[in-house]
Amino acid sequence: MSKRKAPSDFTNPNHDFCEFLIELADYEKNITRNIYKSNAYRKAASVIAKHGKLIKSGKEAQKLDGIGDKISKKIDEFLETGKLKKLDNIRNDDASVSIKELTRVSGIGPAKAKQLYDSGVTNIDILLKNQDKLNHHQILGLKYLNDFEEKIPRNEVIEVEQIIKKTLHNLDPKYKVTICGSYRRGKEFSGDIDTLISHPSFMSHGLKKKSDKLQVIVDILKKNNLITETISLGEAKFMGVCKVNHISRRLDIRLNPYDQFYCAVLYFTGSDLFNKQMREHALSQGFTLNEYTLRPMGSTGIPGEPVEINSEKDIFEYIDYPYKKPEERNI
Amino acid sequence: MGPISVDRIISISSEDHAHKAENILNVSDSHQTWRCKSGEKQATVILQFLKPSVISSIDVGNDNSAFIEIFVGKSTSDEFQVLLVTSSLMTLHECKNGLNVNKVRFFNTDHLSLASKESWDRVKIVCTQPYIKQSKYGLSFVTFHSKDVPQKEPIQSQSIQLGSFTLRNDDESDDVLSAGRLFSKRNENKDVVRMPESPVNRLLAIHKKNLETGKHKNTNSTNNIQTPLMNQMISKTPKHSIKPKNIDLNVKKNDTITMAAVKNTVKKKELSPSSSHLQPSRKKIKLMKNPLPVTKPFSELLNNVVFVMSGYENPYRSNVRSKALEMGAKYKHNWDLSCTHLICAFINTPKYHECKRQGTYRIVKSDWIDKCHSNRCRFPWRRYALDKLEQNKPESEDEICAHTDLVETDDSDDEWNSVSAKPVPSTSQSNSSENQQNTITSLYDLDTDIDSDLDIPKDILADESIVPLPYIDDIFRDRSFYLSTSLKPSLKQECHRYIIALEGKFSEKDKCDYIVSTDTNNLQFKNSVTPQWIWDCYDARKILPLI
Repeated sequence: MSKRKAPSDFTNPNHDFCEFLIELADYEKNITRNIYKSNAYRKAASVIAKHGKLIKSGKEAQKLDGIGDKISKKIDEFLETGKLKKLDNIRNDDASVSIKELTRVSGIGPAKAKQLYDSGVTNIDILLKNQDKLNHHQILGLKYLNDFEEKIPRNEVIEVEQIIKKTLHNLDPKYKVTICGSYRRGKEFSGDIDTLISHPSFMSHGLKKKSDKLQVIVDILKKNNLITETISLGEAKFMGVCKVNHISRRLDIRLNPYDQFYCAVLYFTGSDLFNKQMREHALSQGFTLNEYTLRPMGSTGIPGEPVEINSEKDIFEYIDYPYKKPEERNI
Repeated sequence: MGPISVDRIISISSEDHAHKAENILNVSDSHQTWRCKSGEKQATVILQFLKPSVISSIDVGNDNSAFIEIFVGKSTSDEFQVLLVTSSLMTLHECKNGLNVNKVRFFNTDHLSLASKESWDRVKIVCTQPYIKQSKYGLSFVTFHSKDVPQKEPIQSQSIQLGSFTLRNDDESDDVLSAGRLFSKRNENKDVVRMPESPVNRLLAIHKKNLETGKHKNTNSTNNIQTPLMNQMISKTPKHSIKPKNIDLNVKKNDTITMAAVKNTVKKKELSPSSSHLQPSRKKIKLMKNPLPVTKPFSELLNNVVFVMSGYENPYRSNVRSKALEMGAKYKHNWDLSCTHLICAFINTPKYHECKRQGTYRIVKSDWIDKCHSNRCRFPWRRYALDKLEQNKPESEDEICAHTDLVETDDSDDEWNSVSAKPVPSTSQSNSSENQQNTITSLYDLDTDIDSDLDIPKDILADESIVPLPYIDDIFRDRSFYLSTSLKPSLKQECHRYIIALEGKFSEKDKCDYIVSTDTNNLQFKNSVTPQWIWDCYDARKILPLI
């Protein structure tokens, strides 16, 4: 999950609520490490962002799905005082502030941030002098800290998409390329570029033998001056940095088996909350859905053989879920 | 690798009038299919194999099902394990457009779960079709294949060389060594007209006859579920492996131990090959193949069965009861000494415990009655024993068919009419030379030979791993017997077996506790008893007062 997700922009009437809910969500995720509380705040923020009208009271907000007693009280508190006591406490807490700052770096998560904080690294400046504590990914994250925090405009993603598509088409016209993430959901800005590629000759049951397809692709993209850095490269996943204009961007490329391609596209298109809903629905229909496969559940609850999927739509049809276009998946 | 023969269908969730479940066992006709009733969420069928088998691959012919899931289980428990996880038989596209509704899929070992490494005798098939609402769906056929050849052709691995011929060594002959068989025989003998025969032999006989007449017509109407499969299986079996199966021994009425005799001599030979030079003259025992099966009127099949039921609820209970009564069994409300079988749904019922306490071991599932009734054939109860332990013991009785499903087989293949065998005097028991004499003379003189336990080496009798004996009360423990010379040889043999089985000993006439005799002179001795007294003691499970 990208660190730079923002369900709300400044034009949203409820922007302030969203901001503090997201801040609370990040706090729960990074410092208290309670992913459920974090998800609850994120869901609330998402619902309020979609509401469209300015919320005037906690009671009004409570009618929305995902907002209960506690969050409505926080909204009331915010409306009355313009701030949140809890948030102020968090902001004044040294550990919280430090960990929050350190987690800005790509590759540093809450656990690593806590570890760094405990060893005396309390801000980015100190971190710059202690790069021996970091791994390759984290060093690059630190190097491009400001670049990576910049939102990627849609046009730039299109540019990258075209370069990759063209390159792969020259290599083999049978390659399929889809850029997922918020870009595919039609957002104007993205946090990173999530690319999925597949080839009909690459199937999950032939996975045993090593494939250097991804290596070849990355090499060519490097020659084309798209990819500038490699964070990691395996058989199935590349993580790295690309640059088309003057700002470096995080780029992920995943090579998926052809039979798992659409499940992966669905999964990486998100949003994560949409995925959660869809997986829940799948279970209610006797299926289990993940980023690889859609499998029917047996009568004793044992997942079966993956069903054949030839499009994203197939997945929706199999689990009898009304098809949602990518743009409709912004929950 | 060959198909595993399916004994029968145990249960189905539902079936359409025109598409009965038994159709799935019929591979040859793909137009006959099984379909569930309209609107079922899932369609299930449970099959029983003839023998526990290791499943190595499965062929499935579809009829409109979207998914299939296959479980395996054992008849001794209700638990099933997944063998084949839910797998597609039709894609969504095919479901929605009604395309390829009769696809065939082959599942090999790679598709099957770890359960495919064990042997199982039950399978449960679950089909679903969530995409075509209100449809009737099911399968057109399903075949299970096994890799292990011995499962289906036991002769090849367990055969005994008898001269230049191979004698079949299956449950049937093992049986003979178990005491229960003799006892259960006593009452049945009255009605016995034909020699016991295993189902395999019978089916083989049918098949052979079919081959001869050139008609692959099913002559056995009651076995129509298993026969086509059996035939198919057999037709794939090489000729040479069929032939040994056809060896059977002709035994006259009341002579239940001929096979034991031959077997014993064979065993003997195996055990002591050096003793063969003691018998330079090879005697041939005249053996007739394909003796006719034991038959009784349908209404007398379970004549000597007095049963009590436990753990079954109505209406199924009364259903089973009436079936048993139809076959001549007697029903008792509560367990008493006259009862012979407990039809029990599960262990740990009060009646179950009562029976166990009294040493009764004939505790069977209702399947026994159902199966006997539907096939008009009395199957050995042990096949349907509730206890796994009992089930693994050799069957102590033979199948008895109802009169209606006689299969006449008068095959006179001379090649098999004679089997050389050598009676070997026993050295293991020395106290009854008369008996040995009898044995030998009868073997030499008659085509019915009478053998005794004396021929069986002691280690075989004692070793339960070779012949697990059913539980029998040891009421004659510490009692010694003397068998009067005036007894007829056959009667003497039987007495002898009973006494040994009931843990009695033999001693001299003047030192014994009981003299067994039919002679009135002997009866003057105060400790003399009749053979009938032995039978009575056995039935009563205690020593009865002398008359």
